Formats: sequence, C-alpha cells, structure tokens
Amino acid sequence: MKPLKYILALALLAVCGATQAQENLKTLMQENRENREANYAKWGPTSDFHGMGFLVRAGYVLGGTSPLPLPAEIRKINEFAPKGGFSLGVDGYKYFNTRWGLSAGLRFFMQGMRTGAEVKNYGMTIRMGDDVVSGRFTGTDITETRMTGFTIPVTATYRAGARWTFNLGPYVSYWIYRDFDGEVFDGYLREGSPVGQKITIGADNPASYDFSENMRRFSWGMEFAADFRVREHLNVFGLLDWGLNDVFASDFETVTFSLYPIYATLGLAYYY
Amino acid sequence: MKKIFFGLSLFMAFSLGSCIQDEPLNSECDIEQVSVVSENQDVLFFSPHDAVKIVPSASSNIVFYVREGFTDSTALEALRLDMKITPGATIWPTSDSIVNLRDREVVYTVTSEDGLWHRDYRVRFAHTPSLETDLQFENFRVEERGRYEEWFERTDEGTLINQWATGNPGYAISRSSAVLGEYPTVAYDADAMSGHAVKLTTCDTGDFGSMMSMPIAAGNLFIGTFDVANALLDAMAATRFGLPFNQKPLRFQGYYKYHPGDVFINRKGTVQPGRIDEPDLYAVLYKNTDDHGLPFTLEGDNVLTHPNIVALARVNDRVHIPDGVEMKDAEWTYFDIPFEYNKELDEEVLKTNGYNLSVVFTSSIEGATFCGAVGSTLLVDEVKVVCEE
Repeated sequence: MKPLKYILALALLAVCGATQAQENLKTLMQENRENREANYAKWGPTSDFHGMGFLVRAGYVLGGTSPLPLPAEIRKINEFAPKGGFSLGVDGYKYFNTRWGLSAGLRFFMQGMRTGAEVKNYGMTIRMGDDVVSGRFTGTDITETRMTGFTIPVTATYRAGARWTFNLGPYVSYWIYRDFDGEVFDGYLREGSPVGQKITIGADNPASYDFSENMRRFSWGMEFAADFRVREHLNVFGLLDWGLNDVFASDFETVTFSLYPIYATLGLAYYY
Repeated sequence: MKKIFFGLSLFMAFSLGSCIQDEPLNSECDIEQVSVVSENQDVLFFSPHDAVKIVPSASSNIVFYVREGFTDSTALEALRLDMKITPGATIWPTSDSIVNLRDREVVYTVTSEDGLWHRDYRVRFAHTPSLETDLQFENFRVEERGRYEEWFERTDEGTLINQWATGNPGYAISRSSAVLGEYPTVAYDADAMSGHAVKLTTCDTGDFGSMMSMPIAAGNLFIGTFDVANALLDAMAATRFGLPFNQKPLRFQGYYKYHPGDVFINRKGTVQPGRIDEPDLYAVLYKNTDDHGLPFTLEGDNVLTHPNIVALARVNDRVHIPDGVEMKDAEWTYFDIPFEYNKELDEEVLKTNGYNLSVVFTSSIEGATFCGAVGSTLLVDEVKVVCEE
C-alpha cells in the first residue's frame, strides 16, 4: 500500500505543478505580447502595425567591383582599398501586418575602389579605335574605379522583432559619373596566345588604360539591408547592393570577363 | 569609426583573397637559352660566348655560327645542347640527348606544362655569312602574317643573309589596323634609282603608342637586330646595331631624298613650334667586345657616341626637298662620305670578326627618343659601303 500512496501523492503534485506551469506560461506569454506590443510601440516605426513612414539614411560606402568568381588567372590581391564615399537617401515603407511590409527608396551614392592584383596568363584584349592588342598577360595590374549616381531599391520588409528589420529586393541604379582606369606593368604580354611574341612591359613604363566611357549608365541588382534600432527614431544599418550585370556596356569587348559592382553601405537612419 | 572601416576593408580584402583558386599550370613553352656542350668549343667558335644563344621569344630558328676556317664537320656529329626552357615544360629530344648536327638541322619540340601548347625549334650550325655591302634594297619579303616587309641580302651562291632590321615589328604591336604599305618602313618603286628603293616614314603610333609615351615611330632600316620583346620596356635597347664584319670600310655612298613632316612633336606629344625634322644616314664600325671580353652591341642611346666606335661615316649636309615638290618628281641627292677613323684598326681583331658594322637610316633624327614630325619621309637607294681590297 505504501508505494501506491506515494505514487498518488506524486501524481497529484505533478498535475498541480503542470497547471501551475501552464498558468505561469500563459502569464509569461501575455506579458511577452504586452512587452512586444510595448516594445513595438516604443521602437516604432509606429504603434500602428499597419503604419507607414519613412527613413532618412546616411552612410559610408565600402566595396569593390570584381569578376565572380575570381578567375584562376588572378594569383594574388596585392592591395585593396575601398574608394567609396557617402550615401544619402530616403526610404518610404508600408506595413501590411506586424511582420511584413514593402519599402521603396531613392538614394544618392558614391562607390569606388582601388585594387592591385598579380595575374598569370590572363587573357585580355584591349581595343583602341581600330587597333587591338590581345593576348595573355602575366604581371601586375592596378585598377581604380568610381561610380556616383542614384539607386532606387524596392524591397520586401520583414520585422523580425521590436528592434530588428530586414529588407530584401531588387534595385536599379543610374550612374551620373563613372570612371574605370588603371595600368598594367612589371610583366609581359604574349601576343595572341601563350606561344606568341613576348612583349615586356616594364615597371617604370606602365601601359595605362581608361575604359570609363565604356561603362554602362544603368545597372541593377539585389539589395539586402539590416536595421537595428539603437534608440527611438534612430537605426544603425548595413546594406549590401549586389550588382547582377556587368559594369561595362554589352558591346564592350576589351575586358573579356564580366565585372560586378558589390558595395555595402554602413550608416545611421532616422525614421518616422 | 575609422577602425571599423579599416577592419571591414581588411575583411573584404581577406574574403577576396580567400577566393584565389589553385595556380593554373604554365601555358608557355619556350626555349629561352641554348648552350652547346662540347669539348671542342675552341675548334667550333671564336669565342665561348658564341656557344650560348639567348633565344628571342618570336624566334624558332636557332643558328650557331662557327668560326671561320672551321672545316672538320665531324665535330658536329655528337653534340649535346643544353636547353633552358619555360618552367614545367618538357622538351624532346631531351637536354641530355646527343644529337648530330652535321649538315642538318635538329627539331626540338617543347610542350607546355598544361600540355595544351607546343612549339618547334630548328637548330643548325652555319658559317658566319659576310655582310653584303652593295645595298640595292631589291631583296625583301612580306612577313608570315602579311603585315610588313622584311629586307635581306643574298650571297652569290644564293644563301640568305639576314642583315637588315626595322622597327616595323614594334609598329605592328601598336597599330594592328595598319596594312602592308602603311608601315614606317616600306618598299618603294615609284621612281627608285633602280628596281626598288626603301621608303622610311615617321608614323603616328595611335592611342596605344600615346599610352606608352611613344607617340611616333620613325621609319628605320639598319644592319643589326630589332628586339621587339623589349621595344616597350626600353626602346633604346631594342635597336641593336651592327653585325660582325671583317673588312676595312673606307667610304659610305648612296642616294636619298628627304622631306620633313609639318608638325614636330616631342615624346609627350607636345608641338615644338619652329622645329624642322631631319633624317639621319650613317655607317659605323665598332669593336664588338667590351673591356672584359664580353659581347657588346651598340644600342639606340650610344650608337654615335660609345668609345668602342672605331670609324664613322655620317651624312651631314642633309638636303630637303622644297615644299610643294612631289617626292617622286624631286631629284635624288648623292652622298659619298669617307669613314673617319678615331682609332687604329686591329687587323687580328678584324679577321676574327671582332668588329661590327652597322648602316643606319631613319626618317627622324631623334626618332629613337620618339621626337619628330609625323609624315617626315626619307627615300634611300643604291647604297654602298666601299671597303679596302
């Protein structure tokens, strides 16, 4: 009999405990919800989950223009320096429920980079007017590029919590100013193919190029942004613009591989 | 904030760096240098330096010149040629093979490390041809890709003497659109003294030339070799003047016509108002070894000034065709200049090919430093280097 008594007592305790736990959980969830609502209200964008508003973003641009993937002919990146600048813009958003919304914006940006690479047997064709030099280059290349223009992103907005918001969607850019130049040196070109005439290009007398005029004006890609509320009306954000078309016009054959602009912006946003 | 940016750029550089793929295998397959390994080197060659050949990248014919008076050709039956080739490449016959080069050439095939490319090289031995001194400019051929002419001479027995060089291969790099006849040095038959003359024109090198700070290419023709591989690296060193010569030159004679181009520019492409372009025509004899006995060749920056020079004959009173007169209607100007010796000629050195002779023509006197007037034109024909009997 003794064991039965114990079991009953234990069972009773368990039931009471479970009920107690359930009630605790309920309270907790209730508190959570209230907390979240309070949090949402506190952190904005509005206490109304179907609200609209806008953000003013100011940031610094970092990134590069690169072939993807890096071809095996690129042996070493000697130097890489972002040559970006500031970015300033406005996003408008509209929430459809607590989580999801839509956002669209207009941003001014300055992008750029400088990179130095060592290449081996790199197939290249340089066309100037009617004249063409083509072959395999082994040596050092330094490229500098800058783009200034406007971007219009249209993104889906997902609010992951009171303080975290993510955006993902396509963008189009228009480059008002674009620049792409550089030089090759300290190496040699095999004219036409690896068995062609060798043409040595010294370190002191580089062959310079400027393909600025061959860059396109419009480009597009995907944008991903993450915003974190640091205080009321203020976000820190990071966003990535991943270009999906070549920076050069499609009729440009000099650079035989595609180069994609991949630039991140880090900054602060003021939101209403 | 700066630290963050710095950190981020480091991160980006690293992430780019981490995408670097495995190094591709070499695609090149060159013989860079050949040396003859033989116990009879002094039987074969005047100088041990003649037993080593640095092979220019465009060349696939390798010729070793034996010393004059070499007759025992059995010495060529069992030779080993030590080849320096592109790293990773393979060669057949191998470097340790014994080959027979008596009265024949041997073909070496080099295959690149990646196995995708190969080149054939022909190696042979020959007697040093003596330079032709009666220069008619009648022997020329179009190079294998059909872009420009190359001049040569022929012995009485019909053997080719490749004594002439031009800067045309360099021009071909910068002006791929130029066709036969548009090069700085071309054959000319409109009103030659006889048969063909040679026409040298200072040409615009286009955007590629300006990119390399070489805005013009003067027409030139000279006895020697043009090292096109280094034409962009060191243009002065690319013109290698002179080939071995074993006679004593006395006079430099011939005919020319010259008309300068309109606008004289310097290396940066800046117009030099008031400057009138001039041609240059000269013949130079010099000792072809330095103080240490090593081979020596005159180049663009010392061809008229180096202490190794023994004798020089240079056209000084250069006649210009008056403006308005067509080149073909103008009179040919005759020149006959004595060689001026500044040193005694050493007969022993002369006999063992210790002197080099070069004959040089150019349409812009400062063409070597890329200064001159586009359109300057020099016609040359019927040139002779008169030597002591």
